Amino acid sequence: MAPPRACALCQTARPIVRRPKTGQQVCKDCFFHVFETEVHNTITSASLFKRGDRVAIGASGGKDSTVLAHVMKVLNDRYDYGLELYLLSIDEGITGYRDDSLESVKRNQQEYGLPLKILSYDELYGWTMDAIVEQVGRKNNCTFCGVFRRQALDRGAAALNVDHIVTGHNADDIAETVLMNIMRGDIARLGRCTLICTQGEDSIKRSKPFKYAYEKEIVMYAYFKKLDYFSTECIYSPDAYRGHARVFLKDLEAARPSAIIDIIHSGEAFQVADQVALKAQQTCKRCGYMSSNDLCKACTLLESLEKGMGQLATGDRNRRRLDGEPAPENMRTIPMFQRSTPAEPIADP
Amino acid sequence: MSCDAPPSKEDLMPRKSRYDRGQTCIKCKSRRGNLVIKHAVYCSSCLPAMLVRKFRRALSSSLDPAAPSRGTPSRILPPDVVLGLSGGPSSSVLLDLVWKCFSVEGSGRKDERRQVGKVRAVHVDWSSLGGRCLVEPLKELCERYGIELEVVKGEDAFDPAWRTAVGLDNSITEIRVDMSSGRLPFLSSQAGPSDPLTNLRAHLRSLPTPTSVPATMHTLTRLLLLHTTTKVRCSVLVIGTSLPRLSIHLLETVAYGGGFALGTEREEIVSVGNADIKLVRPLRDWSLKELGWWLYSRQLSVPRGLDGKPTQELAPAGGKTIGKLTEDFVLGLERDYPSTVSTISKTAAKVVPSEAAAYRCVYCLRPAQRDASRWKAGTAILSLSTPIASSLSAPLPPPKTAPLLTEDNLAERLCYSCHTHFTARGGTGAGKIRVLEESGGFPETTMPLPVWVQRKLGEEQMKERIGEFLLEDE
Repeated sequence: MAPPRACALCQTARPIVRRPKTGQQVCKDCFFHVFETEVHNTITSASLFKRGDRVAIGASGGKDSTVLAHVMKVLNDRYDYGLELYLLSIDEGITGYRDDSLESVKRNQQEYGLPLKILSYDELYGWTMDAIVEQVGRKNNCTFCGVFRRQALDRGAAALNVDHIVTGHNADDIAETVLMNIMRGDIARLGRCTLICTQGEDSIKRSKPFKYAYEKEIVMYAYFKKLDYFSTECIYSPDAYRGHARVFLKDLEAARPSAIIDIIHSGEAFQVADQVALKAQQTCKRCGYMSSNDLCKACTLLESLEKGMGQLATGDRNRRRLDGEPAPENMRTIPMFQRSTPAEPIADP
Repeated sequence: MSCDAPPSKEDLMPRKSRYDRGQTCIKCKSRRGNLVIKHAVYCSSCLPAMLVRKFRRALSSSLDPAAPSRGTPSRILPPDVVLGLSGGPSSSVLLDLVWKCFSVEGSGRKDERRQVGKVRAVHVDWSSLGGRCLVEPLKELCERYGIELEVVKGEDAFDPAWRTAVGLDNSITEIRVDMSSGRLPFLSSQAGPSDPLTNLRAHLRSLPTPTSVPATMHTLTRLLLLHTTTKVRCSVLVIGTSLPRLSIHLLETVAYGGGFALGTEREEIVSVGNADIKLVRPLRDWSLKELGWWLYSRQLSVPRGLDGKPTQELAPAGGKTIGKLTEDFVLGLERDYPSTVSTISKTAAKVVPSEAAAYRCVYCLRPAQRDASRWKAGTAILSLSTPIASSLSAPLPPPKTAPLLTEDNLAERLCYSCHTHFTARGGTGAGKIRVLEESGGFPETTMPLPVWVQRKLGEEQMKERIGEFLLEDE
């Protein structure tokens, strides 16, 4: 009979998982240790935080943000980062989905003892995703949700007066975004999607400590730690185009697991050529949020909803048609974006 | 307007013009169209002229980017070119176009014929690994066009005689590496069989995933073609990569971690020995439809067949390679999102390496980043320097990258993607390649390397080489 295998890391305990990232068979303790230490390495090598930083964890109640909240708390205590941590949730107003997942966030808040702020689309934009889907249908609703969430997170962070938002974007998400931006020819996003930390002008720093963490390992971590998270997919149809890229990436991962990290490496190894013209960043004339046009995307989308033309929210031709329509009386607009203290700019790498 | 009332013409937005809604050729505006290409209708008389123009434009912009405007002869001497032929549909189209544009019989205009000098063809034959041999049909095809064909065998990459023939340093001994370590240290012992075919099979067999096999063969083919180009004293290698194939290669390169050298997939100048070879792809904007139409209208034969793949025999059982997955994905995209295929190519043209190249990869001769192989080591912990309990009580952040070792190894001289092909392990859907399972007398962990890979010389070896010129110590 073959002797029982030992953990590839400690060489003593019985292995219980095969790490998706490395293929090594490791025991539970070693898995927790390397997972947390790799996130710590990501944070320290990019010098993401400094002592005393107020950091909001974008918490949706899903697996990524639940594990992120847990790991940030553990690392902050273990390595004495000296961070003030907050939970920040956005309520998109999706009945039967977000209301349930926010319950998970609230339970986590109790467990970790972190302050929680919930900001809703309804409160900020006067629209819930349920109402948006009612007007635009299921085809483009992810565009509204994505744009509104980004700005809502920044506004929530400004309300909490934090310096930094950390999100649960993992290695799979980043690799998928690299592929999508290549396929869509979105040069501007391609140039910045692999950055671990981004900061728009006058907005708050955003970081992805799980940049090199595989989605499967995040699920494993949540499973073995018995973390309380909400695992249902959004009830509104997923972005079909992203779906293509996701399925492709999963196939690549099955053929060679390093493909995920290899795609991220590719994304980090190139940059947009100097001769390619990119739109300059400015601030939205209506709400003061960062924008590459006179109006930011959130204001444009909100205007299209207010005019009852949500289906025309994307594309330049539709934009011209939208501009031609008179604005309704008492059209809702997004309040001016203001930070209580300006964020420190990111130091050059 | 009532919701129920039918819309009048004034109420509707003007539709964007779509040429494929008409039936008249957009060029001559008189004849009935025969083919729709990117929403434009062409008749069978105007289409060939458009395609020939497209081919010439792509070729001249690659050969002489500073070329004067149309009609003015280029100021550079017409270079002798080598056509790299695989035997697939693009090869037949490339041969036919070159003949049509640059030969007297093909009725190319005199001033236009001057774009290239002498034309030769080279084919890399992989039939020793079990595939169909395309040498005879390709020879026949080339003879028909009056083009000389040179055949290189895949195993020549491991043949010392071929190394001498192409003018590489023949004092180098055969090199092997130990695949059991991620650093890929060179092996000092040269024991084991050394006939080229056994070495080739051992090289492919020691690759850790089936994905690495076609990718490595692609690199070997490219290098065999480049070295043969220098051997016949040509400075330009022309290959028939079409738009979908280019997009597939670009996405594959990204998936292999080769983003740093992404631009070289479109166009590259490679230093081979003492010569700079320009690798150009004048069919890089041709869609499958255009290729198919050219083959059909010119009644061309395809030696490999329309669906034949050069590495079909090496497809893994029970899984797919990244190359095959990417091919299926891109061709599927062409069906559902038709413009995506050309967008991939255009996007790749807009990015550049994020830093200057530190060296050239000794295996693929492409530009490489410093410490690329160590970058990956920094993203995953593969061993524990201290027991978990002590590291928790007294945390010391481990270094981001693995420490440098002093031993002479191959890993530090490879680019990221070659290193990945040699070291990354397979996943659940990797499958197995049966034809390579025969060991051929090599230990599992020993990999022979192609003849152009050189080991860095030690001080003693360098001294030995220049010994006859050194004066005695004072």
